[in-house]
Amino acid sequence: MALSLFKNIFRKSPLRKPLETSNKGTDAAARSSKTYTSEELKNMTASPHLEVNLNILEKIMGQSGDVISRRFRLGLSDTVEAALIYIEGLVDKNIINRDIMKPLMLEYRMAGYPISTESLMDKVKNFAVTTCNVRSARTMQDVVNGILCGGVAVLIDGLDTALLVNIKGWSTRGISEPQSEMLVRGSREGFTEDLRTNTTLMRRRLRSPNLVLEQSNVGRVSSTGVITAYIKGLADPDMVDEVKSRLRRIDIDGVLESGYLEEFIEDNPYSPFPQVLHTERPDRVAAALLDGRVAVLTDGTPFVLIVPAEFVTFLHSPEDYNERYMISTAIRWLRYIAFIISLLLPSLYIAITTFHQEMIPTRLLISLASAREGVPFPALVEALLMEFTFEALREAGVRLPRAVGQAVSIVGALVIGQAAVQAGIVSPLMVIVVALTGISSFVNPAFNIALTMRFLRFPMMILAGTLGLFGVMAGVLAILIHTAGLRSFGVPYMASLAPLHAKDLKDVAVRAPWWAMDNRPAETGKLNRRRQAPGIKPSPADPAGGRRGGSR
Amino acid sequence: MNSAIKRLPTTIKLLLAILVPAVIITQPGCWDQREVERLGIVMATAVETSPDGRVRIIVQNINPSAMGKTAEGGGEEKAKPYRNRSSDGDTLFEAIRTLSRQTPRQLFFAHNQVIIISEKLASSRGITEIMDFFERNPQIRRTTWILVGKGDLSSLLDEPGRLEFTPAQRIFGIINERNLTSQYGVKRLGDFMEMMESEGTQPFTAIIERKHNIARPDEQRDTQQEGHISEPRQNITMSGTAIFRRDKMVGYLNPKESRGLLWVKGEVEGGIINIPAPGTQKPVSLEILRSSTRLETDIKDGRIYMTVKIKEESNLVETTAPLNLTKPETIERLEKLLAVAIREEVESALARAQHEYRTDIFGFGEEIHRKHPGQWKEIKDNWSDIFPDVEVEVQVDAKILRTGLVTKPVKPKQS
Repeated sequence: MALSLFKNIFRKSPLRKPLETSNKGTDAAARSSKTYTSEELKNMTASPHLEVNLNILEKIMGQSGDVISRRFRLGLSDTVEAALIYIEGLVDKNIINRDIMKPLMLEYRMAGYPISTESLMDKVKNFAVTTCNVRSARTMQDVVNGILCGGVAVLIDGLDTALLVNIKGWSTRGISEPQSEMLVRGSREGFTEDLRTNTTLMRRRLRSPNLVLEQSNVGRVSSTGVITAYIKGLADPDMVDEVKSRLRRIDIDGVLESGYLEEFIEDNPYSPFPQVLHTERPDRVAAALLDGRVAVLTDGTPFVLIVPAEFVTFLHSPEDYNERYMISTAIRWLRYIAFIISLLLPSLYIAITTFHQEMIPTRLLISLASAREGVPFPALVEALLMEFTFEALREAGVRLPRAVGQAVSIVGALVIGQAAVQAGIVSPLMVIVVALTGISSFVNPAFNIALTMRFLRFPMMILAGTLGLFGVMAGVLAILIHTAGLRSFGVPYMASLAPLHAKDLKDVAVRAPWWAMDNRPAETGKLNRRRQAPGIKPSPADPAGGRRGGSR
Repeated sequence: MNSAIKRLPTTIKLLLAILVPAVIITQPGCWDQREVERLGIVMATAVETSPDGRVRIIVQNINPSAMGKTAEGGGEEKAKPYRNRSSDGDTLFEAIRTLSRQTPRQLFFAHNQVIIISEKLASSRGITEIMDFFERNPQIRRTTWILVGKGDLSSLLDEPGRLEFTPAQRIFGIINERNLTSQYGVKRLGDFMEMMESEGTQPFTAIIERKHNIARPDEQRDTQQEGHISEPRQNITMSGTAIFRRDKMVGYLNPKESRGLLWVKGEVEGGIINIPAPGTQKPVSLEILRSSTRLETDIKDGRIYMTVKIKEESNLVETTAPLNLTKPETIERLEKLLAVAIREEVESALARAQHEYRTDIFGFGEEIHRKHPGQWKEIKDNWSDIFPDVEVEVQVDAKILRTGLVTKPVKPKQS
């Protein structure tokens, strides 16, 4: 009954014509030039004839050498033909041999099931193929996608349904230490390029049924797997919907890195400030999810996006929460100061030395004047020159192979540090300023905000060189106004400072001890403000009357 | 207008967005830009009367290249770290601008450390006319020290020094250590001008002069010897306090009287005071640690009474007499003698100011103004006549806190 219905559908299908023509002719060029849109594939149902199906699949992706099809006969009967189609390298061949081929060819015969088209699919699915991830596919799109995602399609003559067995088995990079976010104390596991491994890392950290990992695919050609992760009951459903709808809107041919997605889903594309946090640390993602944020995992990259991202989160490191809170607080402040230095020091130096000499302590002014004696350029040009050299060196250091990197640093140290000063091209103080700025920009835990500061430094320097401290102040104000107006997924970018959430300052101005951080951030944790039980600060005597720790 | 911008192509819009701010920023900017090394940094300014009756300014310019780097080895003669330049003018600013005819760099006064006014100018012409420049010019700081220079000012500013690069820094350094003696009252420009303009007090500041350097050997040694530079003939020193009536200097206080003045002003923060040991009359030295002063005024039957209450704490640092310091009675007796010594200092200053110079450098007038504003209105016009008749009582509460590590002075054993 069902069979005939599908036959009818197939017959009425407009796609039949091209199929038949290609059946007759064997013009290879004509065959390869035909491409199928996913819309077409969706409308193409599988035929009950094995030959037809194999022909279609051959036409869809048969030109590639890594698409393997294996034909065999099912069970006792010589009449029922079947075929396996898979892509070499995407599947685990051992499983095919052991759990698909063997049962279908040998064990099915031993069991002595009758071969009847009526229940064949059911029998094969339920009694023969002994792998866990099995589903049936009716359209060509399903079949093709299944194969491309690391599945094996089992096609049986007489059935208009293909059996898709998912046995991904490609080689991936092992879990290794996150290269861009090293910590002294903290998990050494980093995300890999494999989406499944990454979801595993997430699941292992948050063993809750409420952790939702919603899969979707982005990219017309790449069809990259993208997973939206959040915790039900913590993340604002509206925000989750917003993230998903923004992801759905993306219509690009390929997503090769999460940076592609980032530019499509951020709120203000004209801002130099990053509005999406990225990390390759699963613990950082887990912490963000616990704050009520949403993470976007992308296949093929270890960098996971976290939204919404406020400005202050870019200056926080996961290690802040692992070390003792007093030390973490001090280190945080060090980082804030370094952040300001990395933006402003060269421009302050330029402004003060060219416009406001009265602000310099007398002795410093004298040594400054003596150091600059004979320097041929004004301070602005000198600073731009040095900053350019430094940035070039840094860029060279990043790109070069490790063995050559050493040479770059030697050349840099000698040329800038030594020779340029001795030749009187730049003053030693400028070298100190540039070096301090460089070191400060390395202090930033988030690479993308450090890049922003690197970028904004230059307009600030020009402002300082033309308008002095007035220009620096104008620049700082412009940056502040801009950032105060930014939003990341509806959350004000400067949140917890502007708008002020006084309670959240315990994770901004200081890093409060864990037993004092009772609440989730006000902006993202609205659904479930309380993070933990109140009053759990450790003390020698348990208030309940029991004895603890030191009092014994 | 708005729509006209909107209709432009995107590339033009982008160009405008970049170019317009660039022009706006760079065109009005830079005009007052000056590089550090182009500044003629002035460290000291001296003002005196020129022979033809105009004002003469002497500025001390530093030569940064001779100062910045530490001396590299011997042999090569080092450049002089400063240059003094002088010029005359009808006004100070005219004189300064005239200076630029001989100075390759624009004079920069923001780091001026001291202003020295010649004694002659201060006592004959008065300083009102020159103070206007210092008050009006934005580069001059109110925290600059102001001094009265005795003798030739150009030689004061050209005394070779060893520890500091420039005479200006030397003077500045000496003033910074003023609390080790408290024997001269020195004022900053701002305070000095406030005192000048006040009705109830008169200005004073320190006197600087050159003194013969005793450390210089009488017979000249072989100066060819490597590295040997003989001591300069003269040293500069702070010799006391110049006191003014309105804008004219009228006299000066010696170091002891100067401290008397500072006691009343509550500005003694250190120094050595000697008292005669009970019995032997040999001197005992006490180091002042801190002091505070309260003035109390009373007007009775038209007479003005001032009470100066001084609280002082000190350490015994040296004794030439054998004293038994373990006994509280000894300390008590010393404390009483100390109070007497302090009162003597204050009274000597009072005598000078009230009877010899008749100028209220203590600021009694201000104190009366504050406590008795009504009466002050009546007397303020004749205050300089009334001031000498003010009855001043000095009450001193002196304490000795510590006596050092020894209780008994060293004494040769009698055989």
